[in-house]
Parts: sequence; structure tokens; C-alpha cells
Amino acid sequence: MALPVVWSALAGPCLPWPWGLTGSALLSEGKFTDKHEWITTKNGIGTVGISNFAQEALEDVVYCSLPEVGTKLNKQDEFGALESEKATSELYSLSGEVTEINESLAENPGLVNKSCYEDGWLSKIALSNPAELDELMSEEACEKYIKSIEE
Amino acid sequence: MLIPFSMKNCFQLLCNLKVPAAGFKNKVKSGLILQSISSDVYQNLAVEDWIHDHMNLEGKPVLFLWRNSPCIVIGRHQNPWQECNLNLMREEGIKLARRRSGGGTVYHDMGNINLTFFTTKKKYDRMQNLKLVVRALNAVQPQLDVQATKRCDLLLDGQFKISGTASKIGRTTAYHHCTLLCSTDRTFLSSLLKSPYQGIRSNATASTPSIVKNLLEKDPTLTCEVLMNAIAAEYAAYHQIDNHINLINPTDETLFPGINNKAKELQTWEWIYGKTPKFSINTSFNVLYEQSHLEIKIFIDIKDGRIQICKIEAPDHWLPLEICDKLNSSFIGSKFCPNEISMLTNILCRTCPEDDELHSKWNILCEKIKGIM
Repeated sequence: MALPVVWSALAGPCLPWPWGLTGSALLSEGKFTDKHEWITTKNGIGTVGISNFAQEALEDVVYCSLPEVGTKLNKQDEFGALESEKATSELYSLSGEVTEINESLAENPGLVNKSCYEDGWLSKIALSNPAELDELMSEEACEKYIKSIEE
Repeated sequence: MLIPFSMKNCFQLLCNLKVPAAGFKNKVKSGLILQSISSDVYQNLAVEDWIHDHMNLEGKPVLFLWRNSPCIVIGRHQNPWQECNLNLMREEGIKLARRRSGGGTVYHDMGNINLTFFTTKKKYDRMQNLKLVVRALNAVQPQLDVQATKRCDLLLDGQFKISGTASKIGRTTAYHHCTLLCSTDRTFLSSLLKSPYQGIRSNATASTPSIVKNLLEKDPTLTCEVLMNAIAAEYAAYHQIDNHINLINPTDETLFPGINNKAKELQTWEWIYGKTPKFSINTSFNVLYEQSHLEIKIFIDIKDGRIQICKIEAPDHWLPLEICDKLNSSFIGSKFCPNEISMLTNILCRTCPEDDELHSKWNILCEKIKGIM
């Protein structure tokens, strides 16, 4: 799957959207929130990060504030924040329990910019309500959404 | 023009603006200027939280003017031990607050004006806000050389910082707040913002120290009152709204339902100190013993503001390792806070009631450790 045109136009230092390109049969299709966060699921565990659009808008991330493992979250709860020179931006969750956080971000918060879809993942959540994924956008829908908000 | 926000005015304003009686929740005229009557930093930060969480700012931005009695405000992801002199602050009764936006550490007193520009996420534009402030300053004093930098600082005469900026972006709303130095106590500022604590290793965001100056030093007409009025006037002109500054009481639950809980949360130890990113301290101090100096090494790991690892290493002839370790173990889990350490040391001393020499040594260590908190 080629990269959507709009993302090429926005291309920053972030590595591209990997699903489809890697051909990994184990990862489900990525979904997007309207807050420019992505989530992929595997065996009921969702891995969460921010999109290229978001990392470009934030500029250089200097601090990642992530929840403790074991934290129980509800949909739309603030689960953390990313601080950049531009602002501190809140991160929003789906319902579930935090099972893992990306420890590399403590020493290297810039991974969120450099590799927002891979090494810059933020946290993993055991989803308690997988139906919430149905409310999110597909990659294609997200691309349209970005175009619409830019106009 | 200042309008005291009495209950009568409040209902009139709310009725004109067609908002629910409980507060400003939904529809506000195309802009609003608020000024706090309080100088309590926690109450004023709570107003920011409240507006951010509850107001619909679509097409209706808000400017909030506030000043605080002497306090230090650190950024959301900062380490107060790295940023300021907590011992001095305790001696002088200077409060510490942690704000929800990022950025660096600042000293506030009544000679500093805080400005918060609330907008929707889409309309978030710090440079636009700073240009507005510069226009306001030049309206009062056309000769004044004030410029915004790329870092969103305001510099006077190209070299002195008079304003710093921080921001928060939420679900649908954003705010940009900045300081403005009019007549702040610069000497006190410098001494408070100098951390004496050594050996800290941390990933917390660090401040960028700057040389500052007060606008009043440049021009005696530039008082806080004059500048707040000028900025309000410029904001009103820009947004084409009435130039009315509405005075608000941040403790008024009828205007801001739930605000006192927000103020309480901002004052908790868990928020102010407990939100410090994990850090370690690796340092040493000297103890006088029989006319010679002994070096005591100390290594402490702190997470969520609490001691996770504590290693105090003293020469064996002064304090054997297993006795030192009793003190080490008693501190694990404790808040990194002088009062707790004192209390725990007292409790430990009571487990060996007859041993005055041991008590004395434990107390010496306790005092030295309190000195690095």
C-alpha cells in the first residue's frame, strides 16, 4: 500500500506508516482517533502512538508523560501528555488497562518524532471494550479528515 | 474599565449572554476579558483549569489577567529540586506550584502580570497573542523596544527577557499563558531560582535561565495597572468586543462549579512534588568527628516524590554498615520531604532508647539529608 499523498506532502523526519508495507499478518489494520493517535491491536492488546500529522504539529518532543502499568482507563480519559517547545498536549485513551509503556522515551523522547509508528510507540493497553475500535477511523478516512481540517 | 463582578452583575451579564445561571458554560459573546481578584496562585491556576475544561470557546476567546503573591511556579514535567532553592522558600514562606502547561520555572509576585489566552485548538496562535501584547506596550510607550523571539519570549532592548511563555492543548481547547515583568523583586527572583542541590540526575525538562528586567525600570509609567488596562484594550479592539474587564472571584462556586476542588488538587503534595519525573541524587557531605572530617556518601532514587532506594555510606568506625542500613531501610517509601525524614528518624531512635551516641549520629545524618531536600 503506497503512502497517502497528503502524508507525503507533510513528510517530516518520521518513518512512514508501516502496516501493509511490512506485510505483517499478525498486526490488525491500524485505526485512528480524531486526536491523531493511532492504535493497532494484537490478541486484545492495543499499541498506541501518535500520527505523523501530530508529531509534525507538535515539533520536537522533549518529554513524554505516560501512565503507570496497571492504570485502568476509560475512553476519552487523559492518559498522559507530550511536551514540546510548542505546547503540552494531552493524550486520550480507549477503555482498558495499561500493560506496558515505552521506557525508551524517558531518555529519548525524540523517538516520537523520528519513528512515530514504530520505535516511538507510547503505550500498550489491554482493551476492555474492543467495540470502541469500530468508532475510530481507518487510514483512508483519516487521510480525508486531515484534508478537511486543513481547508 | 473595571467592572466588579457582583452577583447582580453576574446574572445580568449571564442573561444578556444567554448562558446557564451556573456559570459561563456555553455561549459567551464574541470574547471575554476576566481579571482575578485573588492573588492565590492555586486559585488562579484553578481558574485556568476550569475555563479549559468547561468553556466552549468556539468563536469566543477569553483573556484572563492574574497576579500572584510571591510564589514559584514550575512547569508540568519539571523537578523543583533542580529548579529552585526549596530551603530558602520554606524559610521565606514562598509557595511552590506546579502548573499543567510545560516550560520552565518562574517567580511570581505582584509586580508580575500573568496573561492567559484561551482559544479553540484551531485558533491556537502564540505569536498572534505576543504581537498583541507588543502592540499594547507600544500604545503606552511608542519608544519601547520589545520584540518576540522564536522561543516566544519577549525581549526588551534586544537582550532582557520580560516575558516567558507556556501552553497547553487539550481535547478541543488550548491556552497560551505568559508572564510580564513590570516591577518584580529581581534580587529575590535570582536567589530563589538558584538551586543549591548537587548531584541530581534527571530526565525532567530543564529551565533556560535568562537575564531579566522590569518594564518599570525602563519607564516609570509602565505600572501593572497601566499595562493590564492597555493589554485588555488591545484585546478588545482586536476581537471587536467591549473593553470591559470583568473581575472574578476564583472561589465562587456559583460562577465556577467545582473550582475549589481543582484548587485543592493543585495544592496536594502528590501533584506538586509527586509528579516530579523519577530522579536520583548522588552526593556526599562531611561530618566532623574527633577533629577530622568524615565523608558520608549518599545515593537516593526517587520516584513519584518517594524514596525508592536509599544508600547512606559512612566510614565503618563511625557508623557500622548494619546500623547505617537501619536508617536506609526506614526511609524507603517515605516522601522526599524534610518533615517525614525527621519523623522517621525519631521513630527509629525510639527503637534504641538508651543509645545516645547512636541517636546523635542518626540525627546528624537526618539533618544533613534534610539539607538536600
